Amino acid sequence: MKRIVIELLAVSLIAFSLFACNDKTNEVVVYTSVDQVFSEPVLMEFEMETGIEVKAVFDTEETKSTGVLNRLITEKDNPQCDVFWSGDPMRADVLKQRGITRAYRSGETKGISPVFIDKDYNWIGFSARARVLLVNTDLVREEDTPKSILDLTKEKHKGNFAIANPLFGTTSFHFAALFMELGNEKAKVFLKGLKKNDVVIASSNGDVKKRVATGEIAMGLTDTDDANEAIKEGSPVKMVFLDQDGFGDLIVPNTVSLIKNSPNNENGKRLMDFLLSPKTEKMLAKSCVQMPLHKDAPVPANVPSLDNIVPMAVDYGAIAKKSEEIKLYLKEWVVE
Amino acid sequence: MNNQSKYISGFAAIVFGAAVLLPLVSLVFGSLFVEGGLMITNFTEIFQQRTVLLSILNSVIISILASFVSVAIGCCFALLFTKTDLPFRKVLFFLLLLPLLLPPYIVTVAWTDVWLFLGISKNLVYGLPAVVFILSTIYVPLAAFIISGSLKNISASIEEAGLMMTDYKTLFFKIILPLLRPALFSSFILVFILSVSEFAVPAYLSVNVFTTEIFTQFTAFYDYSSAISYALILTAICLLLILPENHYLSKAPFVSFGKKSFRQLTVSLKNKNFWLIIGFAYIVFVVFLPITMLVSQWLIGDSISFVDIVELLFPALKDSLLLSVVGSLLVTLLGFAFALMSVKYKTKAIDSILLFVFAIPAIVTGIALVKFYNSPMLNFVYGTSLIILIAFVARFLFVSQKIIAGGLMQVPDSFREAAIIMGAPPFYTFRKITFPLLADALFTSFFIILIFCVAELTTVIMVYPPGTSFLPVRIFTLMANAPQSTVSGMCLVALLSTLSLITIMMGGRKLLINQQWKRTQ
Repeated sequence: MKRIVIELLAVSLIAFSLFACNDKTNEVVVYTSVDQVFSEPVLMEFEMETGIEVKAVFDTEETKSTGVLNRLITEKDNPQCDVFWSGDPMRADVLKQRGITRAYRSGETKGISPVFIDKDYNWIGFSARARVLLVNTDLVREEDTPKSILDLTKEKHKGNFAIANPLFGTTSFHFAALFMELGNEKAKVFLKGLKKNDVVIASSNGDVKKRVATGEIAMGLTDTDDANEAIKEGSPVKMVFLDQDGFGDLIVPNTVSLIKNSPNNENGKRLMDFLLSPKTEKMLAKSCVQMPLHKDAPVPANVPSLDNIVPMAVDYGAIAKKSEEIKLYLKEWVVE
Repeated sequence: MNNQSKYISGFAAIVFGAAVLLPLVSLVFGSLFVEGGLMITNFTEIFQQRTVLLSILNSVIISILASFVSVAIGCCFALLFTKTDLPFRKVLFFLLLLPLLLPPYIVTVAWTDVWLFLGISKNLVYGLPAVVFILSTIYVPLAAFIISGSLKNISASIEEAGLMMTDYKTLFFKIILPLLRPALFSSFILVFILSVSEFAVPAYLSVNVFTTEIFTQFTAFYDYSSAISYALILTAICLLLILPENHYLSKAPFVSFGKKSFRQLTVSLKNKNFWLIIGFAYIVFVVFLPITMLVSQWLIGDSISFVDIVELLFPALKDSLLLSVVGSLLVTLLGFAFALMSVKYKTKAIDSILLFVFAIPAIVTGIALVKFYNSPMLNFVYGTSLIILIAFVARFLFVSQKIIAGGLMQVPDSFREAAIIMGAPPFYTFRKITFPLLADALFTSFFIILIFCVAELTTVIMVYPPGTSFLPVRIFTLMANAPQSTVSGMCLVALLSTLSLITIMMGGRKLLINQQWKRTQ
């Protein structure tokens, strides 16, 4: 019997020593909800430039990109992550409200409009996407293309357009912004109009892109990076910036936040500086047509410039709070 | 039972209790008991919401239909491929397994593409029947595998005695089907639990199910207390189905294993070509169609090359397969210890506890593990791959325990007792008597758990250590913005690698069994 106990203990010790060897001095841990195809090359570039090992946790479309957010919330009392790179300000603000992030005033914020920076510096915006209407040009004539998001409630578009589930991702952010812009009453009328017009609720922005690109549906609201992917694939689609004669199109910046009491705070700051630099914005502009927020950053020819888009005038922190407020309504609306 | 097996079982119980049960129980109690009182409002609110009740109804309908269809079709194929002299039956059975090796989300995307390509109405594609169909195609092989094991165990002498009195049709309904009932019931329960916990398939097909509600509470509202209340209702639904029959199930082998001493009756089919066409038609239209869609998307689209895809996935592939093999081995070892407790010590509470853990949704298990292990003292677990192994144990121990318990019940005590009377030490008896007789059960457990481990996403995404990479996570995190052709290519590489591993394992198993047979001779 003693032999068995000794053997079991020996196995446990070997397993322990195998798994427990973990040098954390020259590393930084980043959790990101930004698609891996775009975020990984940037993180690798940081690794090459600084020699600091980047350990990343990426999120998946299947978990609606909120897996890392749940991890960060659950890990609050013993943070494992140093930097949270979010695809939109809303998630960053959720963490701020829960006291999970801390302020960091990076030197790289010079040149970025204060609109894209949290007033307490708990998150800082950089490279932005925009919400666009992806239109299948085989199915929709130029003159029938909606110019405003409100046009989607018109009878002629009935059953011809899709949105992603507004409880998740950038669509939830977009809808919260609409509630801010239109006011609760008008926004609810608009949503009822969408339902009446047989809006298709897809599982994600990627799903919207796929359905429009394949012609399964004529139009859909998605992000510029998804739209660009469909264009790159050679699908008969175009992206339309909405409400350019009205309240403008929603701009969705990436954000980066420093996690409070994280194990490698200093390395975290270096990564934040790198992410906020014009160099990263240039990389993201090239890989996924994200629009640089630095005023002097070069914009590649295929990337829409913020100078040419009428943006929705919004308070990003307030949108995050509005989103919390309307979620119950949206949940009911989705299954209505 | 000797002291050694008592100590082994005791050690396994302590490991499981501390590593898996404690985190789950502390999460559930922590969420439900707030300020010393039970948060009863969570439950009352749930049952007052019409949409939630409808989602529960949807979940139950989908799971019952998918389980029924899977078991019915699985039973037919098990009969055809196990009891008859159908040509190519082993190849067909192997091909039948393919849908089980692909992530359900990918199978769903492939099927919807097939249907839309064929011009089937969107109203039919996006709806409850499509969910039932897809889940059934995924779980038919699982049911067939379980039922086939049970069929192999029916002694030819029973069937021959019956055939002296009546025809095979009557024999089937009067003798074979009653003997199969435990396996039918077991596969029904397993498919039911897997279907009721499924999130990706109904979400993609726009069907509101109860897991969507749980998921929404976690990911849109960040309301853990409500989410766990919801999850407990889901668990209760599973337990409601199972507990009344628990005494019946616990006596039934989850998968039954044939003995070399048993002769098996092989039924000679009168119309072999007809049945061969049926088998091939199913494989072509149900198994190959979505895979063909993946292949065509990969070939037609502007994808990166096959070599590039392999390079892209290789680190994740290597880590994932290695960890899945270790995980499967660990789960099987623990499954053996728990099977000992259940079968030899008649500790029936074990079955219910394992079933409870299995029925808890994967996302809840993930959160329980993060909450429990994420402390400075336990960072050696949380910050390393150990946490993934614990997640595998939490998710799949029930299945392994049932498979091995089934095998263990068929090892006559008299064999072991005879060896001990002859003076053989306990470990020698185990090595020479119990283990060889149980080898098939252990292998089957290892095989099924390996398939589950390779494909597990929901728990792994919650706990995987930063900087590591696992195949399902890698595929899903890359697919968001990768071209469809690349995503299809990645899925095919994953499928081929899992298939290769299974082929190697099956070859190894055959070699092992042949060696044993030679030694016995």
